[in-house]
Amino acid sequence: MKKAFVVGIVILLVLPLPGKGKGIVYIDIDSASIRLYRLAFPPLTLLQGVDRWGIGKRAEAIIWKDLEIAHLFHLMDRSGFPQKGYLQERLIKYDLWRDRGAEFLLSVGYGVGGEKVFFEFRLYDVVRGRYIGGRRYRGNRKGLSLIIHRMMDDIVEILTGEKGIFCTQIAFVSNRTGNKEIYSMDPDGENLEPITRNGSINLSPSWSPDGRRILFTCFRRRNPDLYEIHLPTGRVRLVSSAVGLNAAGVYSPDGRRIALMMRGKEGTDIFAISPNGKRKEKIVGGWANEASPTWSPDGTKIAFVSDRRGTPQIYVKDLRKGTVSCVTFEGGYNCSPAWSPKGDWIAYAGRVGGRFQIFVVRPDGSEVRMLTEGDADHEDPTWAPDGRHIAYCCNRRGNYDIYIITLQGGGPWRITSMKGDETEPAWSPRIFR
Amino acid sequence: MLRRERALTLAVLLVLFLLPQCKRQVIVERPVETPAEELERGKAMQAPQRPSPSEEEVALKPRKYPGIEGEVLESSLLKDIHFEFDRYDLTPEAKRILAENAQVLLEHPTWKIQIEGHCDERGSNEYNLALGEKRARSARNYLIKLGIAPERLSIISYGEEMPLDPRHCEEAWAKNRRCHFVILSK
Repeated sequence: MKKAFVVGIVILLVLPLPGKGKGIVYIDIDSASIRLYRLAFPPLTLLQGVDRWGIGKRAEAIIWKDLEIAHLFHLMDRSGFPQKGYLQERLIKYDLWRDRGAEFLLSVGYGVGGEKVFFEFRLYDVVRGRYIGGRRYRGNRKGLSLIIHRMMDDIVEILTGEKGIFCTQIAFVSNRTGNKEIYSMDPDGENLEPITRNGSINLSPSWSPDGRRILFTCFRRRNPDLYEIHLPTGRVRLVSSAVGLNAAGVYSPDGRRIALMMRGKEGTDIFAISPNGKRKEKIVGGWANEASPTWSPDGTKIAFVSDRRGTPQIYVKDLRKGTVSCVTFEGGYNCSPAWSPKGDWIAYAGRVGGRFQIFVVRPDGSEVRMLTEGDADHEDPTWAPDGRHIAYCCNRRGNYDIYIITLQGGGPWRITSMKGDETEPAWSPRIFR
Repeated sequence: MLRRERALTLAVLLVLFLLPQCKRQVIVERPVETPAEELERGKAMQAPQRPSPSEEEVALKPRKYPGIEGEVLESSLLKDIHFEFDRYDLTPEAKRILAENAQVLLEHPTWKIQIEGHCDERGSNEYNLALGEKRARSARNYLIKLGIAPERLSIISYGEEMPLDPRHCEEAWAKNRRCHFVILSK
């Protein structure tokens, strides 16, 4: 894990390129449905040096995959593209591209010099015939995917007014070594790295608000204790080790409390503790089981699972008023709530006909929507910081893999292809490195 | 060569077979050694019906879980109990087994045990951790009702993390929804 952070510090000098476009939000990503714009993305052009490592090819594959996952564009077939090479503003012939049916054009050039590489892009609004924006990125070729991800996030920001999701990570659990360890990767599967390597049972990763620490539960001491790993140093800290569960720990948005599942008098309850594990306060509890807390982004509410009515259902507790309301009313097994970072939805896994599917519902219980389908289990939803992409795990190929979809019907895109089961994805906040 | 050997063997067997029929008064034989386990079995037959605790310790098997510190002991006398899907209430069969387990605990008053709650793989890992706790709690409460001192009974939930049968079918799930009993100290 250390490596990525070090690489991150070294790279990325970002230079805005000259041009006149700016300020327009082309695509409203918060709308319920989205029209995919026809994007012309010609092959990358080598602008400088000799590419003996095939950097251009690799970069292009990542850009292509990320453009698909971004789910803003329909990527046009490249045959019959009217212009070749890197298209600077003075070279582009808008009418030729317009005739091909393009609405936007993304031209990417790159250069290689020793271990250093640079990439630059120019984005054009073909319909209105104008240059929207462009930037140049310099960095180390080993940090290639980091450079591409910065570029992708900027392209998305230019078009939508909000950064993309590629400068983030998804932590998850994999049993590919024979036991459950925690790993992390970029949202397109790049930069896969092990986080834990203790040979024990490691569960329920979740990120600190600054994206530098991961909470997880581990059975190493013959008790499910809550730990935290500090990613830049790899140092592990025991956060909570009460007898019984210390599970499903999640930081409040302000980072000042951790909600988690602990043993109560009669069942499992939701508690909040201070990050040093000292102060402890009960949030919800009783004879029933409570599980899987998730904070609203303003920190005033917690959604959780409870079996107080006989089957697991999703509830919301208002921490100020002290009231509890039910959110799910259909189905006999609803679990794993995840509050959207925008606050407008709660995603969860619900059982329909013996299989789990991913749903979203408004925090007041209205507008239930099923986002996945098929004869497989779709579980453990987690939101990207844009409140639009959702990662989850699914066993449609036999083993569990991590997939991504969007609220507007994009995907599913499979992100992992490891041998074992990849489960419990947890999407980080945006990480700048 | 072979034929000669076979003929010789046959002759010897014939002689041996005929020997008892001979009118000899005294037959001298080499002493036969009694196998050791037969002697042990004989001893056990003479011992009282209930095995003494010292002998039973042989039946306690140390068990190391991968990635978990320390060891526990397992005894074949303490039987698993099973549950329905998403349930933690005790079936009549589970209560019958718990009564037997209670008897074993009464006969071994020094044992401190840990009741492990386990679940099948369906549903969320986190909710299953809570469910496993409830299952272990149900078993513990029942054992206390049967007269076992609470301080001898600790509980832990492994949720769906330690399936007995890793397959993905009802037969495996039924086996995995269980409470398992291990001895922490004897």
